[in-house]
This record gives sequence, structure tokens and C-alpha cells, in this order.
Amino acid sequence: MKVSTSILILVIIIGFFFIQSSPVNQSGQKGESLYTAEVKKVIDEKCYGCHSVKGNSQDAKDALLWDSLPNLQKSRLIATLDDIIEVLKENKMPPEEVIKKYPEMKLLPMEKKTMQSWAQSRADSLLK
Amino acid sequence: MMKAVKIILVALAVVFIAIQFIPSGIPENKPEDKKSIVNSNLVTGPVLEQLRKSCFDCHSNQVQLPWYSKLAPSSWLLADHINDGKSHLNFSEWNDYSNREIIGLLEEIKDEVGSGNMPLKSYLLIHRDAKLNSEEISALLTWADEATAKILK
Repeated sequence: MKVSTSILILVIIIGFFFIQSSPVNQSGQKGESLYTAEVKKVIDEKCYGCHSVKGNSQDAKDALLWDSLPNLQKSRLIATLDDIIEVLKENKMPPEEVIKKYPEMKLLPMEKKTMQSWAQSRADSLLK
Repeated sequence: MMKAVKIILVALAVVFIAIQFIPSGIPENKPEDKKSIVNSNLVTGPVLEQLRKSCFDCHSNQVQLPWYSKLAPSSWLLADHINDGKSHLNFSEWNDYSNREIIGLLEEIKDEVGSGNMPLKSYLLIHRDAKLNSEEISALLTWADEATAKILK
């Protein structure tokens, strides 16, 4: 009885750590409903490297964390979507210096359009 | 030695006079019209007065220009501040913003005012009366929250 109780406790503890350390290394894991598959693909390939907890740039993380978006309050989410629309319109992301180093990171016109339409429609639906 | 100093002073004076002919780029003021936040239903008396006192000099078309706005190179710095400020937020064109943009601006106002980044420290050096005390900051934050709630209602 004692041994089985200990094993049970051990299993619970290991399970707990497993859940805690499970890497959130793909955008949308916490917000499947916020991102469409197309948008998630663009984020994962072109944005997530900097705008996730594992990113190297603190500025990028302060500006936007894709995994946090689903948890934002309504007004903050609208403001963030507005920022995304602005940044895309002005071709500010990915930054020029990143594209110089990794030309493949540049957003294709189709990808930009996908992101813009998504941000616009999400913001519109929140404002309804 | 004295001659060299004289030449330098004369050269500086010539440069100073010459740069006065370079346009500063300070945008022209315009009268308040229907696009102004004044004519929106989102702002009340005391908050509006606070915005006028602390924000309008860089974020509106009704800028109270100081005397040094007529002298280069300080006029260039001023032009840069005003143009940059207005490109981010212009209270005189408030009613041209979409609801999405207004909510974005209100969130930004909360961040910038709440963190003490705005008004800019360099601006407050000369405009002491624009400085916000803790009660005025609270009033602006409450206003921004209430205005957001009004739009989302």
C-alpha cells in the first residue's frame, strides 16, 4: 500500500513537471481559435523566432509575444492587432537588418496579405 | 591668437545667420474643426484641458510655439518632435481615426502616460506646467479606460 501510494505520488509529480516543461515552441498552441492554419504557418516561419519567449531581442518580446495574444483583454488585443496592421503596411517587419542577413525571412506578398486580412477581420469582429 | 578667435566667431555668426534661411519644417497651425477630439463624444472638460496643456503641443494642429521656434537649429529639433508626435497621434484629426485605431491610441496613451514617458522629459524642461502629477495621470488613465469601454459597448 505504502509503495503503491509512493509510486502514485511520483507519477503525479513527474506528470506535473512534464506538463510544465512541455515546450510552447509553436505559435497557436495556446490559441488555436485565434489563428488560422495559414496565419500560424506565416507566424511560425517568419515571426515566431523573435516574438516568442525564446527570442533573443527583448525589444521584440516587449512589443509582441504571439503566445500571449489569446490571453490579452479585448482592448489590448485590438490595439495589438492595430499595431500588426500598421507594421505590415509600413513594411517594418521582419526588420530590414534581419532580411539582409536572412533574405528568406522576407514576407511574400501573399503572406503579407494573409496576415493583414487576418488581423483586420479579427479586429473587426472584436469591435462588433 | 586673438585674430583666430575673431575669425572663428565671425564664421560661426555667418553660419548661424545662413541657417536661419533654411525652412524649419514646423507644420502650420490650423483652426480646430469637426475632426478634432474636441468634437468627439469621448472627452470631458477637465481631461480635455489636460490634453491641451500637456499633449497638444506635439499631438495637434494647435501648437503653442515658443520663441526659439523661430531660431535654427532649435527650430529643426522642434519640427522633428512635432512631426513625429503628430504622425503617431493627432488630436486634431481624432475623428478621422477608425474605432480600431482609436482603441490602439488609447492603449498607447495609457502605456506612455502611465509609465511617465509622456510628456517627454526634454519638453518638460521648458514647459513645467505640462508636467502631470499622480492625480492627473490617474484621471487620464481612467478617461482612456472609459473611452475604450464606450467604444466597445
